[in-house]
Amino acid sequence: MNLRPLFVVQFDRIMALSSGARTNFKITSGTSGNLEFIQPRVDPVERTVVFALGPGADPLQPNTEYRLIIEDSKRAADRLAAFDGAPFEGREVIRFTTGTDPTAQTSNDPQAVDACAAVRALQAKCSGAACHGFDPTGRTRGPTAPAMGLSLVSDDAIDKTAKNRAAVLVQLASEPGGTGEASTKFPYGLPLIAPGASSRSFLLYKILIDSRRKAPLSPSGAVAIPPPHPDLALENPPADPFVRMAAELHARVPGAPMPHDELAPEPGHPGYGPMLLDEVRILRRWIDDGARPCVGTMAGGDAGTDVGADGSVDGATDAAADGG
Amino acid sequence: MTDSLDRSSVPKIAPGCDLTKLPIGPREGFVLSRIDGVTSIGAIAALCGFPYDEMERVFARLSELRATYFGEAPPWSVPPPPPPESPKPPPVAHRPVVVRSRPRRWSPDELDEPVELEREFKTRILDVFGWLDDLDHYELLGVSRDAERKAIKSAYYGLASTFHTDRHFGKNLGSFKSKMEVIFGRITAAHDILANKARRAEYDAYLLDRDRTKAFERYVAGEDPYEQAFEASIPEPTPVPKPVPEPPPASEPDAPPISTRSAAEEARRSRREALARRLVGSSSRLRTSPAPAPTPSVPAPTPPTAEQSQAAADALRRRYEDSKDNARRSLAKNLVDAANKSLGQNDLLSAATNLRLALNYDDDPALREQYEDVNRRARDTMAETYLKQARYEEQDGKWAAAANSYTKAHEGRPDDALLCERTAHALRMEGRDLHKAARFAELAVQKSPSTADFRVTLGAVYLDAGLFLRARSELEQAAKIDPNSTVIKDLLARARKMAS
Repeated sequence: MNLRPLFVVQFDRIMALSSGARTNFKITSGTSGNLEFIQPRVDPVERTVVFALGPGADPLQPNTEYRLIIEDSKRAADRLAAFDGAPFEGREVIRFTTGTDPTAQTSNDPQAVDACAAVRALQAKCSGAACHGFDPTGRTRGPTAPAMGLSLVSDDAIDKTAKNRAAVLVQLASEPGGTGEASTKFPYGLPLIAPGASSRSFLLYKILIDSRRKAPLSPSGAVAIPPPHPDLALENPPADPFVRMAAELHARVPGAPMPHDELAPEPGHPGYGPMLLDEVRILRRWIDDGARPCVGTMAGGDAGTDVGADGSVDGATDAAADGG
Repeated sequence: MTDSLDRSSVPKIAPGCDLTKLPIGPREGFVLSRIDGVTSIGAIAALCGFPYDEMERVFARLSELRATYFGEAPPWSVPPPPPPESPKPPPVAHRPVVVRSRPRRWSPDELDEPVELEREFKTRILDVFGWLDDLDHYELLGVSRDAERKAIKSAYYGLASTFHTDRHFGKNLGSFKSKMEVIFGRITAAHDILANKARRAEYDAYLLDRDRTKAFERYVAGEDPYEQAFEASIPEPTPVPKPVPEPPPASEPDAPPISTRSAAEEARRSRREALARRLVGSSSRLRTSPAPAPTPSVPAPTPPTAEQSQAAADALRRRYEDSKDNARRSLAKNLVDAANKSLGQNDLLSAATNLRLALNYDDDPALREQYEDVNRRARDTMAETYLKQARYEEQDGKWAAAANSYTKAHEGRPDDALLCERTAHALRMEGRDLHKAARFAELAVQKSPSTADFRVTLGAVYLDAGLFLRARSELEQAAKIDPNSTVIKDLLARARKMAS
């Protein structure tokens, strides 16, 4: 086993954006105290929380048994909960033993990020003239005013209309620029794409609530998805676990699932179809990697636009658009 | 604000309203200070110097706050709500204020389109969509021009969420969907500009220019708000009361004399009030004064004869005419003073307006000469203002507005070839009147035949208009002037292909 491993803990549902605090995860052995971690990252596609040892922490010792302890925190800001508010119940202890190879290397995200593949997926599935692309006539919406102000047709368009742009559907007029949990149990204040934080990117949730994608949300295949907390269950939940999970998510996320299949780019076109699981994973990695442009270096967005370390939009500077 | 609001409407302060606690800006406060229950909106507009549409906005706000009303009594029955202790964000269902006071620009048939939207919301969409091109960003978001950034964002999120089509996912929205998208786009553009300090400053400067050019257009059209204010400020002479007929001979000698004395006293009081109304221009204050108690000891006065009444009427009319002449002279002097003050502040348009108005009341040759000089300088200045305005509109892709502004700028500087070319370009981009675009482009080429860009614009206009031979000829001329231009080569290739 690598002695500076990447820990990936998969949960049965998408974790809340406030989760992943370092205090929720502890690794100990018989000879060492708690190890220092970098800030964990929530992966909404795989329903995982990912974390690694901090740069100042000593590597794991070879041939040593460790215990990974997962538990909720009493501090409100560090609660470990699902996106729908279901709390992490009890205390989970996972035991593992390290191997003997101290030279193996790892990265925070072992899979390569293909920015062009991500942009291509958005172009192919979302950027028709009737959707988040350009209006070719330029008459009704103008060349830079695609559906709901969101254009996903190019690096430049994504940069100007999606990155760090507030998603209108999850903003509160009474608290412009604020963040928190809305009454729908879904966070408000999210941008469409928060570079570096897929779990704070509204666009990804709009794609995840599309239940047509018949594939298990697990890298290892079918994973049993237990029913939600009784207080949060739907009245008539679909039988298929994945469909049920998408429906649960949809009950929280405002607006329509994306892509729209009824908006064909031209008469006779079958429509865009659902985003495939591989495409969603590419998008997730691309966003977590900073949502960098496919070609060259993109020019900066609107002056003053900023994003916090957690991907939140700066309330004083965000602009807005919406869609997915 | 009501649809019936016009210049002659007289606003009144709502009873019980604490004006000191209203969350209003300086403009609203200034207007409030001019409301006396007698002066009309037209006169108040002139007194404040605000354009009439701004007055509409101000009164819409004051009516919303239940600070003012029109008519006999406030349209609401409950006392005005207490103003908030501290500024609070506007409600989510934010509404562009100005639209409600404007006439409808849609057909009732549109409202009957069978879609899955509430009728009230459909009305709102049609209202906003109909006036979209006429509303400035502040009006669209329903915020004042001095609104803070947070208020702008609150208004934006409230409106954007309302008009977001995704809110109505799965519903049949029919033709309302595209209207909502257009409104959303405009709201977003308004927000993006107003929420950015530098862009807002540019936009504010543009609005200032636009206000000035609007005022200039009113000036050119000869609209005279002061004239209306002046007329409104001088009351029409009230008809002199007819002579009281001789009382009939008492048929009942025992009738108490007090009733006869009371009637005569009432007639005298009524005449006094009529005179006072004419001199003061108000009746409300006098009506509140209690009538003096009849004095039984005073003998009953003799009613006036017809000759006496006529003499009184003539005297009153003379006093009225004198009052009017004095008012005209006084107004002319005030206007000249105001013009000189405006000149000191380099506000040529105000100066020209005031001088022209002063001439209406005092046709002095020296005054006329001064007016003509200031008028010429004002027109020169306005051409520059129109040009700035046109550039902003062009940058913003508002081609119709840009074409109009360039045309106006050209009127002020008819010899400027570049202005001709820019006007042609804007008209071409607007795409509505290619004949006019061609005329301006031809004028530009005529004034500066060796400028390749002008010929390119003319060639492009010809191409758009389907005049391919002319386009080819013009672009060939341009290619001779600038043989390396790829733009010209591309256009020329297209023109040749179309012409062949």
